[in-house]
Amino acid sequence: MAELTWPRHALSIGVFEFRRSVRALWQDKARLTLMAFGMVIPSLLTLAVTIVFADAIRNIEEFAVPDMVRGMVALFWLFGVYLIAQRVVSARPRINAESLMLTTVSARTVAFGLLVAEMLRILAYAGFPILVLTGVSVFLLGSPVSLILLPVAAVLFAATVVVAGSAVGYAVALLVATSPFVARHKTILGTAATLLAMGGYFLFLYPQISGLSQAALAWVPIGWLADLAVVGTPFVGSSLRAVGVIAGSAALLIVGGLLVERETAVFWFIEPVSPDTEGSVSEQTAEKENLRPATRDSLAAAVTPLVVPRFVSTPVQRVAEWALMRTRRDPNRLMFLLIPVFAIGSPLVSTAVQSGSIGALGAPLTAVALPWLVGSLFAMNPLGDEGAVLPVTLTAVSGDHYVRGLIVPGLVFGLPIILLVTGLAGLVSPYTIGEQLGLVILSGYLTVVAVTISPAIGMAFPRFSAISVGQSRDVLPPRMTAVAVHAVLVLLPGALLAALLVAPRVARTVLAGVFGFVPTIVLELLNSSPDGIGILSTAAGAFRAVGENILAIGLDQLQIIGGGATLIGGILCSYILYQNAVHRFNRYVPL
Amino acid sequence: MPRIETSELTKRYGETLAVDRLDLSISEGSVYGFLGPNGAGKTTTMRLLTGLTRPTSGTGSIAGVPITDRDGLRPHLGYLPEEPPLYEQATAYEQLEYVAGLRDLPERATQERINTLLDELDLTADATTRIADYSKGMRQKTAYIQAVLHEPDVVFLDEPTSGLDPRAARTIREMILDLADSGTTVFLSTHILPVVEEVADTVGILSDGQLVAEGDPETLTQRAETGDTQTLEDVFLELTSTDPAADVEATDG
Ligand SMILES: Nc1ncnc2c1ncn2[C@@H]1O[C@H](COP(=O)(O)OP(=O)(O)OP(=O)(O)O)[C@@H](O)[C@H]1O
Ligand SMILES: [Mg+2]
Repeated sequence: MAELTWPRHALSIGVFEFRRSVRALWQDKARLTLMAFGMVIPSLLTLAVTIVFADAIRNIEEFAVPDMVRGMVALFWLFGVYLIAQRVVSARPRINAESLMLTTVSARTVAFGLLVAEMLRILAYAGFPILVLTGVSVFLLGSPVSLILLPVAAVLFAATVVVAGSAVGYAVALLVATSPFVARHKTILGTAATLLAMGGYFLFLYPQISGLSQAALAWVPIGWLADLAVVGTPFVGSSLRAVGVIAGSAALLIVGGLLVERETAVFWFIEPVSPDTEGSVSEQTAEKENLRPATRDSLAAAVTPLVVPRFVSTPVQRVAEWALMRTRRDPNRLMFLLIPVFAIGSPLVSTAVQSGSIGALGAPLTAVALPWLVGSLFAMNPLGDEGAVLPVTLTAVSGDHYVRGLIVPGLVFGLPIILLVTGLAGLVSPYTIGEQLGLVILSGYLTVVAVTISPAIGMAFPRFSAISVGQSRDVLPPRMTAVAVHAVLVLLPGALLAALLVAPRVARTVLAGVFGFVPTIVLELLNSSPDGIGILSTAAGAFRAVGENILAIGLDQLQIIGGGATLIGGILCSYILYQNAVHRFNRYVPL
Repeated sequence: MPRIETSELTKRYGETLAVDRLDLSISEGSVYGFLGPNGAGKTTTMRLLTGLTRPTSGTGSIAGVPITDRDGLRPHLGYLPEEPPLYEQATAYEQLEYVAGLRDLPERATQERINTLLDELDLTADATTRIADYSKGMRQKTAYIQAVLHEPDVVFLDEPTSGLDPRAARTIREMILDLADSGTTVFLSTHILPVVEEVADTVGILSDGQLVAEGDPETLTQRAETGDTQTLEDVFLELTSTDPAADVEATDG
């Protein structure tokens, strides 16, 4: 009986889970907005380009799909698999309402339901762009079959990514749950895996770094989805590959599905090994004997070898130790930060390597990026991290103490390291002693700012668990919005200050460009119709004037006034956000 | 045939022996009060009997189905765990209908049953509110309905009255007796001893994973040699004491 109904139940679990995530997203307006932008802007851009170039597209000549396109599809697919796997491992390897679901339907039904939900999430996100592309294909390229084949290619892409990613993800989760070695070293192993995956991705995405091109991935059969998607259009793919990829995807879905079923059937019914039980027995008994609060400071022991200095008051020290311990025991937080580091860092580094200016770029990059990293390490989601303890914390500690406690780890442990590293990077750079010293001071200043402003930002955009099931769960990663806001507040002014210090001319050009010439160009492009609109050309003229005025400012003047204003702004911003964080904590009403 | 049967059922978590060679035999339509101090292994026993975790050794069966056969087990049992397994983003109605759908219950009849149960537990007015906004007791009630909705052969209730107001707690006690009358076997774990005294046919006391006493409440509270009556609380405290002297006294009682 159950054998016949499980697909239907899996589908209804998928739809229910999907609706649940939509509701959760709906309540998180900042994330919703961000996602909406991420979804609408690419579609609108595509739409705009299509409209502008409609005639050109219509008259496009036939040409063969280049290998690079297949390789690109394969690259995105591989990256998608990595992302899904990471989601499975870090966010929710075990399910919500586990005891209910597993006593109501089979583990297989739940597993497939979750796969369906994940596909629905991807398709909801990519639905609009796919629609636009399909429209272009059908109406402009005159390919009615695209109405079916393009969405089919997209669905196959999503389905295979989800199934393959989940199969990998559950396999990793199973490994973490069963191997004490992996469990104990999951932070370091996870970071290594992330570095590898991200590194590989950007190596292929920016061929100039490695000389590898996306075409090198064209052999990966999943890239043949490109051949399927273009059937009927002037882009000529291989029809053998188009058919092959359908069969191949089907095979992958079946094998991957079986794997996921097997893995979850084991994983959801075992108790994960504890990373701490491996210690020697004598050590454990010693720990038990000494556990009396009066004789041993277990919280301080948990963060050794780091020691929070005693000159801060006890509540501050406790909060600081707690923040340290959380960061140490939670690998997700670091991984989450590595993504932007790579997204921004790798093209920068590749440019630097190519132009042979790695030394010149290294020191300022260290002086700006490291403070940001340390600033976002401890307090990007302080309230959410408290979890069920939050009401207790709110009533136990004053806002002043709490916020200071969150700031202390970054200052005590981050600051010395940053000063040292920036100093070393300066030594191998071509800059004068004065500039090197300036960069070291700048890194210190930025660290103080980055660390001080993070509690307010983290509290303004908290992320709480949706539900806690009996099983222990890892700390939540911070909200993307919080990380983004913090990064913008630290990195942009930081970069400006570093540029003013070591390359004021570049800084001036960039400022003139951002505030003057780029808007000018955009406005003039918009105004390119034959009988231009008056307002637009006036505005373009005004922006051009701004740009020219900025270029006319003396470098000394710019350094002193621009730099001074930014420095003071940073201090003001830190002060205000510190007060704001204290205020937020004192007035916070937990849900 | 007994509805719940175990033989030498054992569960080990690393060094911890959570359930130690447990032998149970519980018949149809009876209410089994499962007592024991915190950490005695009550929840673990329920997780074993519901197939949520595998025994380290020993066997068990529910309505004749071995507890390792999860697919066979599922239709026979309902489970209310310590932590109500609910979806914050759903309303009580949505959650109950969802679960009913997953169990393939007939729609019309289930609808009526849901309404009746919601009514009896005073939850109708809130049934269309998101569970995220529920109080502890309201969650508990929703989870209870969810556990008995499909009229299973065996219901496992882990602290069913926790967080309930006196009226709701009374309703649940009556519901448990009704369930037993209709042939359902109720496996009940609670720390509220008067509840056990009122509803349980048999009481089992677990201590450090071992069943240290079993019997109907009257027999348990009789002292064989003197003929005095004790309260269930006295018996509990005596049997589960870590003081060796009390153990001796208990075993010769
Ligand atoms: N997943 C697990 N991993 C390791 N040990 C566990 C796990 N679950 C339970 N235990 C241990 O098994 C023992 C029994 O726990 P259990 O939850 O069954 O107790 P309980 O009788 O339900 O207690 P309470 O009255 O507090 O609910 C405890 O020592 C507990 O630490
Ligand atoms: Mg328990």
